[in-house]
Amino acid sequence: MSSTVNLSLVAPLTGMLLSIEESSDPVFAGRLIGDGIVINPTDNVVLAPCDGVVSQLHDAKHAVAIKSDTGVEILIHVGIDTVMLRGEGFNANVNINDKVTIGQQLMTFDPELIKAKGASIQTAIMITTGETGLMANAGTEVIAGKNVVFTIGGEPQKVMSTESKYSHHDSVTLTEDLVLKNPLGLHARPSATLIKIVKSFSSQVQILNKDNGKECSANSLTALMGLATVLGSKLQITVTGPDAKEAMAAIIEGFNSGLGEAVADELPAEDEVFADEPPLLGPVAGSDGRLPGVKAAPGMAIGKLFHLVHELPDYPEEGVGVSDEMGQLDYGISQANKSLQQLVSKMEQEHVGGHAEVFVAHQQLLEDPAIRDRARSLIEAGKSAMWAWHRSFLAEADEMRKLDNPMLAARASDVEDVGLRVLRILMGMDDAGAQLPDNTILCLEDITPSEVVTLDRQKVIGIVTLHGGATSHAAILAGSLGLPYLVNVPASVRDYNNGTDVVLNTNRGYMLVNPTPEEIERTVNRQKRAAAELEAALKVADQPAITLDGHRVEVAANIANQEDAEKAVKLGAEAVGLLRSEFLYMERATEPSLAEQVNAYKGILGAMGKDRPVIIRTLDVGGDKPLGYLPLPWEENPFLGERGVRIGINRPAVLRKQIRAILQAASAGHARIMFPMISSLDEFRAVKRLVQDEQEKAGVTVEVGIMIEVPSAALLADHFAKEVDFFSVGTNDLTQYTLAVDRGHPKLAARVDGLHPAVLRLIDMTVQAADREGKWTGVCGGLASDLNAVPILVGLGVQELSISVPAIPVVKARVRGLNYSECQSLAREALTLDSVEDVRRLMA
Amino acid sequence: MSAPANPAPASQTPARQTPAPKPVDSTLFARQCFKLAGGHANVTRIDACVTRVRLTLKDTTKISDDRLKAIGALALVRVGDKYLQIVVGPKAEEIAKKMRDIPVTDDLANVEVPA
Repeated sequence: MSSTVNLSLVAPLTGMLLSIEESSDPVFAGRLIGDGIVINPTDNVVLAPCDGVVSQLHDAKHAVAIKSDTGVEILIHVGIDTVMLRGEGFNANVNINDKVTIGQQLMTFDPELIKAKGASIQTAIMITTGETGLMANAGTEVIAGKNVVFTIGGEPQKVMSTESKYSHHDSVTLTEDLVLKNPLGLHARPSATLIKIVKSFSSQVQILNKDNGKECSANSLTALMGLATVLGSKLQITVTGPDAKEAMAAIIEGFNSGLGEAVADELPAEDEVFADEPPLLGPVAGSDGRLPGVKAAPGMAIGKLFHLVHELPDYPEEGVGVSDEMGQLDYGISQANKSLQQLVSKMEQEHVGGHAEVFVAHQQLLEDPAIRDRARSLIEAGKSAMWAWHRSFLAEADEMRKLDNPMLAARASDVEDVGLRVLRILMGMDDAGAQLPDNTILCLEDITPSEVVTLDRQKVIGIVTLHGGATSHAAILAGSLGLPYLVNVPASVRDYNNGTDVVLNTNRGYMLVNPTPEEIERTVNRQKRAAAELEAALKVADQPAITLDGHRVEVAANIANQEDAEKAVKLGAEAVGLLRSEFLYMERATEPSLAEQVNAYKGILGAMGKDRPVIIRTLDVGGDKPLGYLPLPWEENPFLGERGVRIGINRPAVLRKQIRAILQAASAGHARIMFPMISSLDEFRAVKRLVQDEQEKAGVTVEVGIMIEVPSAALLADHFAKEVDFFSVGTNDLTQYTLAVDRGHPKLAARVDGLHPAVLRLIDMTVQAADREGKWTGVCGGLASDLNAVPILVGLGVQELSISVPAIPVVKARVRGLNYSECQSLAREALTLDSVEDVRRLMA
Repeated sequence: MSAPANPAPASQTPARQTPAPKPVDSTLFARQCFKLAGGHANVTRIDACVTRVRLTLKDTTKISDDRLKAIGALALVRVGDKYLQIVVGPKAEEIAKKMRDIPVTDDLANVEVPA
């Protein structure tokens, strides 16, 4: 790349100078952050490589960036994976925005401590603003503050001395086949060794993996790793150039000697071949045209399959002209801003404005100069706006993922979402959905929240995705918009052409391909019946849910905000059985103030009124759903980690603030407090003490209950019942913890069924324990809105069913058609069964 | 190509690498451009932004860069196999509107374009 600036960097550290490609970190080595160098330090003081301003100083103190007066940003990243140390062993001598001069001390670090923690101190110095340059003094020991290590905008690299020996006509092409002997394929180390060999010649080298047809040039680490080679891969090496013969010999010798790794001379003997078999349990994907998936939003739809593939078209790297491309960039960003504004208004009109914060955040990202400035400097270097923007936002997202905590990683996908929005505008692409046929069941890899909202709902009547989570933001939005959505459908769905007839039934977790007329008719009848039932139920939604033999069940709503509360009252909710308070805390940069929290709770309590109690569940987040201002370390297994009440126990100030807010708002209605993820009595006693403490200060008392969602809590329900005011069973988590199956798992989620007899026994234990102490039990998980499960839950003695707002009228109607004593015998029978299939059959 | 009637649109900021815009009559350019892009049979969407007419086409392979440049396009930007951006300068909006206004019944038989 040609460059318009000239800048020399002096060594920020004393140590051995290496090419960036020799970095142990493949991301750095692949120049994904930018061009640069690597130093293996022999000292522990980091100096400024040039004059400038400190533009980034990472919280973990292991990375510092200097922006030069010419706009070049140099990132000094000390160590590999040192972000994990969270600052331990590092000491910064400068602050962000400080002006620094060349050779000024920026930071020191403790090499012994870093090494003791298992991290490397190898330091990468990289240009984040896109400029490239030349390394000086490679392979020598450089002195910090003295030796120049890198120049930007210098003369092009001196031609290899070997080249002069050959005239252009001597260029030859040679091809050789070989079988890879490296046990793990061409991973980072052997790839780097190969690149080193290739770079010592002037010939071009191409590697083809004949097993999968992937091909690349042998000068890029990421490209070589992208060949997806394994032990025994058949490779074809093509060398073109004046020194092809020598290069080929060296490459073959390199491969034979293992490219720096120990390799076996003989390939392992072929193992006995076992033919593939279908799984022993569960439906076989594609058999009888039934593609299984996981329900992300409920519903049924009959339509035509349409694949939406997010492949970006090719576009030119070179710009037409600097001012023209700058105009394009500004246009793209301002159009994206406008479209986001329209999106927010559209969501408000469709009464899902409560979910619009994410797009307001996207607008803020567009105003962030980081991506824009980087793109501008690339355009000035002659690149097209598309290329410059694409590279800039991907680099920004990469940096967020690489350098920071899970919260920033989540922001990275927002950067990509908004970045693609601008890129599509720059490319002049049609809005997705413009040419969709009527009754489209849309099939995508995954779907972002903004895509869900922008879908043309005149055409799209259902969504299926190959990936994605059943509890993602996109899933919640699809539910609010009434779009059935199935996630984790098998990749074989791609084998069916656009326009294939399909029946989507997310309630039962499948999509039926090429249904027979009978199957279509059955679904149509089901839809008609459901519609008729809904219509009838809506008419009497405000009536109580009393069984034929006079047993009353309270039907309550699961809500996230005031908008939901207002809808719930209209649809006949008698209470709120679950207010997911985390929605107050998410999609924002700072913790909500006490006054903000009080106001939010007052609004909801007021909307429900004094006669409809509201159970406020305290903040329920964790490593799987992190908060911006509450950094949680990455966890191997967030579902078994610092999650739910454990957050409040470890950070009492956050919990205290929330409890105080609830108590201050309590007079607006009828508030109750519920703690999530309680697994032991000491946890409950600790948070109950905090509540009592606050109650005394406030002079207000509210009922305090717990969720039963960990098997240990159900098993100890008799003890808990003496100390709590109520139980509410969270069937989704209780089921996944009891069966030890991740409810979002692509292959296993279909086995997560709350009607499993083991789960029913735990619910039974809970209800009985509560009854003995005169306490009540509710169910606020997905099972409560499963019409086939309602009779069993009622029969087990559950007194409150808390369900998603749209399901309220139908569940009430279902209860009215039941006979309580029959439900009781049914429930007793279900408890004796040995499988979920038998329970389902009992209910059919 | 016949002599253009309108003066050249001035480039707002003299760009280092932007070719100097040739004087172009927007009506004639719109018709010639639409014909070279394959007319109603090939063009599925016409849009404009700042300096570029943006076309969505069924088939971009038959479009000749040279012939479009001969009628006054400053540059062509091809995106994938469906999208074509024609850099024309500040008159892009006006030209796009004139292209959209060409009736479906007009087969552009009377529009002369350089070979």
